[in-house]
Amino acid sequence: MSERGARAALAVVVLPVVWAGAVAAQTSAGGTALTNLGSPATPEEIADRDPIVGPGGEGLPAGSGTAAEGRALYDRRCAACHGATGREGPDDRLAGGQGSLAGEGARKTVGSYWPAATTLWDYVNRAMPFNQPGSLAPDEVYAVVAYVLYLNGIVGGDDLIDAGTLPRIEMPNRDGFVPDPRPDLAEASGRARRPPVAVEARVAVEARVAVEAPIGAAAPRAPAAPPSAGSVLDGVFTAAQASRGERTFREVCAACHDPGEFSGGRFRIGWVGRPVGELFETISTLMPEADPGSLSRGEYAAIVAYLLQLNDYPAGDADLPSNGRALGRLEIVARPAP
Amino acid sequence: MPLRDTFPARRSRRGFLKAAALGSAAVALPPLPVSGQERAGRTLGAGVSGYGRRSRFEVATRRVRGVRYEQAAGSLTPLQDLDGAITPSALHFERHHAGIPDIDPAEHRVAVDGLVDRPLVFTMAELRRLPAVTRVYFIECSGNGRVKWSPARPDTDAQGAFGMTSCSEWTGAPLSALLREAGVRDEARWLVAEGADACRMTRSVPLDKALDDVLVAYGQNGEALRPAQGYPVRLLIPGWEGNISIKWLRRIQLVDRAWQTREETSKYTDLMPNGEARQFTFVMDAKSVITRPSGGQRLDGPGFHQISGLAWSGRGKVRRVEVSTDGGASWTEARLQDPVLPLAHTRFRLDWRWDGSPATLVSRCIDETGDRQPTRDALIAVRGTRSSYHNNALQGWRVRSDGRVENVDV
Repeated sequence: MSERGARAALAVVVLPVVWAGAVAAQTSAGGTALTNLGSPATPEEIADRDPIVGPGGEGLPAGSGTAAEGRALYDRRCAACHGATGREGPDDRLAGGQGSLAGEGARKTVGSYWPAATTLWDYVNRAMPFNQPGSLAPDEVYAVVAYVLYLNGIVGGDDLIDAGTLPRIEMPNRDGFVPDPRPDLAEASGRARRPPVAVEARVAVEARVAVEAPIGAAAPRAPAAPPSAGSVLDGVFTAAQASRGERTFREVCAACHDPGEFSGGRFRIGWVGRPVGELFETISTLMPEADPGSLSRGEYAAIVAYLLQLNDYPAGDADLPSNGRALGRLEIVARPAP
Repeated sequence: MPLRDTFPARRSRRGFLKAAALGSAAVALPPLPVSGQERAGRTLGAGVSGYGRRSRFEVATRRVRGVRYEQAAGSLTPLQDLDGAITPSALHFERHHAGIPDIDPAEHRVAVDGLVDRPLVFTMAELRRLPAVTRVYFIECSGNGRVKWSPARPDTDAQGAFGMTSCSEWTGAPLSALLREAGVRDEARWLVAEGADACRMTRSVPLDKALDDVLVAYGQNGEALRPAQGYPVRLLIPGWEGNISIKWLRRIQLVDRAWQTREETSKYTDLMPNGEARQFTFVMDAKSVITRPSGGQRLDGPGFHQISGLAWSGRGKVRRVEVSTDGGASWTEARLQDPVLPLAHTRFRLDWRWDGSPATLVSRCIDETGDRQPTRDALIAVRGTRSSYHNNALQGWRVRSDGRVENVDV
């Protein structure tokens, strides 16, 4: 697990009290049926349907093929639309283009772009050839998939592709995809709050921890913090910033949270000894639950300032930065006894 | 012989506007009989009929984009010819990947399986017995507006640039109702929806959205779905890119993670200048377009003209639409037509007195989250020009002094 992932996971563990209510609200649709409509599907009925192949190879049937076996099939059934070597078209290019994705000359092919080999099996099986979808037997799909991977230099001509080997193939662009970082434009940053458009927080967490930083993030950056960041006793936010944060808290957070959840003993237990950056990271990554990450970095920083003010840390002359690195060196320490 | 056969429609509405601009003498209406204006010798009109059709004088049609295969093609809604916010079902844009299946609803089934307690199969009759709701939502292809990744061509019109969005009143059962019947297991996080078209279109949907506002829709604008929109039943995933609203729905499989289908990897991902691609970019951003006056139309002289258009956002309601007649130097708030509904087309209007000098009309949508449309330059500065999808840049229409309206970048 990445450091970021570890921190996010830790945050979830450390803040159970805060999110207990939210988690309860996420209870699945399991439980009792309301209408008893719909007939039970027998395992035979389910098995009779075409597999929907997942990234771990879920649903892949028995069978196998090699590129050498797939070549003739490709020439007969695929080459007319995709070209003799998968590069000529006229329809989607299947091969080549590796390393071309950055810049204007990007060529998106199976080899250069697709993140999972299982996708290729699933798509060929369900949709190809275009004019006769569903006409290939599993062995034929394995063979033609092997050949397309071979055209991209990903497998050898005699490598046996089957339900065991296909999911283990590492596609060249497997790490090339990042989660949705929008809003990513400074112009679109005048937002107040998001209505619940329901990106599942749990899903968002899993997705977000997979990336280091949103690409192209154009959110306004606050000035970097001074080199010796010190602690929250040093007056690290302004009163105006905290009051902006309070306003946002009321607008966005108060629907689910009471300020009392973030002050006093609960705050001390959860956060003393940890950097402000972690608090910022936790809130900006996971909240608001209905649309995590939807506020601007400045708004998240203001909310953190508000939480510090709630805990009687002193205000100062400069805003709390929204720069994670600077915040990472700023420690949340216990307030000295009055 | 029916009148419609005697007088086939042969002029586009745009042609009509142009003709009108030349003066009444040039408005060559078809030969009589045309009812309604005669002073004497009036004849009886047509009788009643079982299923209505529009006037023979109305010629607005979807435009098919140039493609190699008509079964894997799109057709564009004539936004410039629409009034109000609802798109007539017959003019709803189309995008198919393997043709429109011809499905007998009596034979059709929707299966719910995977990580559920009780795998189920629903008939259409059973789906219709579930508690139903009716909602107005737009559906927009995430590639709508993709022409704006390239510099503006003067002859692009509203239909050509933005015709892959349509708005209907949809009726169906909440997807959450089906999921409740089946009992979703705790480990489920996503579902894979599969269509019954020849390519068995599939997309992964996060479970939280599925439990929120997704419909299993069988009704469109008061009647059954049109075949092109998924008859007899489709998913309707409000505010999200159109492709994920799987048509001709046949199966919902609950899974523990995204299934990485072709349509969410090879397609419908957004390639950035640094070579990374954004994935699961579901939400459609705030967008608007002036539909009158718009590209290809011609104003018939200075004086009063009402500027009118459509605005929408996948994040909620349209809060405000601002209109500029000077290319964005100054903005005036337009009137929004009630009711302003979340995740639906919203009609805006602004009265305008044209002085006859060149003007550049622009609209800007601000939604209830504060999201607003960016300029094309601002969008490209961050995302480059290769990402294909999710272009919500401002749209400009140049009104020339002769009244002709052209597409311009602003």
